[in-house]
Amino acid sequence: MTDANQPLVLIVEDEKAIRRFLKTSLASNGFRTIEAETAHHAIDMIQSHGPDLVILDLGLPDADGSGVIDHVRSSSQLPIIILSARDRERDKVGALDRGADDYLTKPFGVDELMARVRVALRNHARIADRDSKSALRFTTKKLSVNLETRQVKVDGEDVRLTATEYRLLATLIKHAGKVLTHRFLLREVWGPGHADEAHLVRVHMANLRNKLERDTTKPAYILTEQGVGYRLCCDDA
Amino acid sequence: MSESHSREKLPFRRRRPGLFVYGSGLAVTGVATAIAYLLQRLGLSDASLIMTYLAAVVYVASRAGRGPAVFASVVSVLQYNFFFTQPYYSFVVEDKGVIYDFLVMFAVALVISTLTTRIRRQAQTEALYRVIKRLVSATGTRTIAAIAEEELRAVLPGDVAIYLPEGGKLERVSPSGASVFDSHALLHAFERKLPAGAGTGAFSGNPAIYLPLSHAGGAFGVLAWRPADRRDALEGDLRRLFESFAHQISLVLERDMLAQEAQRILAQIEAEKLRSSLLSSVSHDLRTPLAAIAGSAALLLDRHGLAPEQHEDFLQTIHDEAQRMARLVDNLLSMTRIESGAMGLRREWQALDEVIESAIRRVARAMENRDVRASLPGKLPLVAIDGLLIEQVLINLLENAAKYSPARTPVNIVAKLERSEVVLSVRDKGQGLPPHERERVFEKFYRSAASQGDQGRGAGLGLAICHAIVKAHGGRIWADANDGGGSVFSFTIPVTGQPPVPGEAPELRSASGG
Repeated sequence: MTDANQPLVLIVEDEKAIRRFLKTSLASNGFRTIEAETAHHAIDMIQSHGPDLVILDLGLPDADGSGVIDHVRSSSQLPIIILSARDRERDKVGALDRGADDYLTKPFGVDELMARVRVALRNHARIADRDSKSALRFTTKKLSVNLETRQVKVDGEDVRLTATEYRLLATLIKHAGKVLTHRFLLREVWGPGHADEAHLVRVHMANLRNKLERDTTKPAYILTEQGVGYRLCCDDA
Repeated sequence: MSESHSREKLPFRRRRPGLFVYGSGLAVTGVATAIAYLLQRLGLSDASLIMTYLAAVVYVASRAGRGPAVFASVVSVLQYNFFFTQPYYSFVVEDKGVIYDFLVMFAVALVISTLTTRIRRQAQTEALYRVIKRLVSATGTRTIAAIAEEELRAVLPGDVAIYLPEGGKLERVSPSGASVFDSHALLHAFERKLPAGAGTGAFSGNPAIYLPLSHAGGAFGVLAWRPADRRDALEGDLRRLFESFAHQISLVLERDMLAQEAQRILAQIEAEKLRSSLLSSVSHDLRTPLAAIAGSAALLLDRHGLAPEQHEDFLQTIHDEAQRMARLVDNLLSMTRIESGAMGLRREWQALDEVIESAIRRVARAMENRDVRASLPGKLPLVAIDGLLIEQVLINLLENAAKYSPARTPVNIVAKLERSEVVLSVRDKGQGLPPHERERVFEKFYRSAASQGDQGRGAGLGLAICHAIVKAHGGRIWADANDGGGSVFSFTIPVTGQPPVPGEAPELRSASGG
């Protein structure tokens, strides 16, 4: 039943009920799981078992979950998905800016969980395989972007983007399916020194979406994660 | 700037008349004597000569006040007696008429100078009144101080400034170039709540006066004036006026402080009331889905005598009721955040499209089988809002619409820019609200009579929270009838300026497209 080729997920969560839910969901979707209840235990498990992905609750009994993120990021790009409550937007953004890959807001469903896990694993694989030429073209639904010629098409029609809009889109594509915080986008597109000007992102994002989306209040490509950032919809997210 | 204000805007006698003023009075009567001499040479009668002196006395009285006026009247009579009555060039009085002339001039001097003083006082009162009138309509220490400073600059010659404590220092309300005021004297006035500067017990060598703007519990700040003429700071009408201003400004500031205090207490009481009614309502609202979940789970665990489709039913109940609890908890969290009023808001410049979009996405499940459509004008300005809370308002209104309108009927969100606010409306095609309920639905935990029974559970908290969130953002929320049936719930968000217009991002060396 368990196959060593199946990805190994470390679940770091002190609530037994949530652990069980995560374990069952992951197992039925073809993942192997190991569990930890505390931050210290989690760090040990990462070193001894080398999981492919970590699902990390931010509120752990012995230490703040963000300590685990710092520890992991000091040595690897191991994908981390954090679990957090809805009112903790700042914690979420903080954890994402520290290097977590994505987040899930409690309560969440199996579909949501699996989508986040797949995106995180896929992005990790792509970053590890940076030299491959596979990422020169991005296509989802009716949007297609040629990252070599910088040509953007929606439904076969050319879309003209400004340099900033294109860079926003390219950054979203590079991390397709993953949530990107305002701060991250500012750093990637505007460079350092603009960290507190989230409205820059909002204004250019609004323009970009006006050009790409048929109905900006029901976007097909770029979704707003209120209080956190944006996520580019891709086929498995 | 002191130059532009040094012109006399009011007929103020600037201070107690000095020797110079008496000398001027003497000079005026001297001129009168010269004119009288000419008139006499022209053969005019003595009456004309006396009129000349009278004119001189009136002039001095109207310009220089009582003392110099009386002085001028005495000098006039003496000069008239000396030069124009026999025996000439002697003060000997032969004609009793001279004594009468003297009495008349003395009386005229008194009457005119009294009138002038009265007019002056009146002008001062009016100036004071005008300033106070403008001040009482203002709120906030800083605003009041800024208006007071502006008004006083127009009235008092020289430089006037109000200093308020800020970040541990006294800072001028309206920042202007180099300060002419002494920081030590300012601090003295502020900390000891005592006057400092010219004509006071401390820093008396300073050319300016510093008066504390104080109340029983402490000082708001310091009112400082450096007159164009240093002597004005020591005594006289202007000095007295300045003191009255300081007193009146203190009173206005104190009144404002008390009003704000009262408001704060009121808000606190309101929050307290909210908290207690919240607790009682929440325990009910949480217990209901909890009972459904616990009951269904118990039945499923029991397993005996349950048909497979009943299994499915109970599982669905557990799922739905859990969702409802999750929404309730979201609302509770929003509530705790706005309990502290506008202070608890995390305002950021937000695009409303994004807020509407994420709200629609989060209610997608409750809106299955419905056409939810948003219509927005092309260019809505950015608004400084707490995105999560305004999203919560939209979610609650959308869920409310779903709850009170038949399945499959459309729900519309309409955004409009009206002058300095954005109006957002959620329209449904339900049964609508009777007019008398349109106000009450926003009251805490009020539930529409239409929701008797099961369908309206949990609505009370949702709208009350909408109301609180919108109010904390400085907007309004209300309910109306929709044309052609149903309800419209609308709320406004004030548009408060715009952030700096962002241009293109600088070209980065490592383009992220690569």
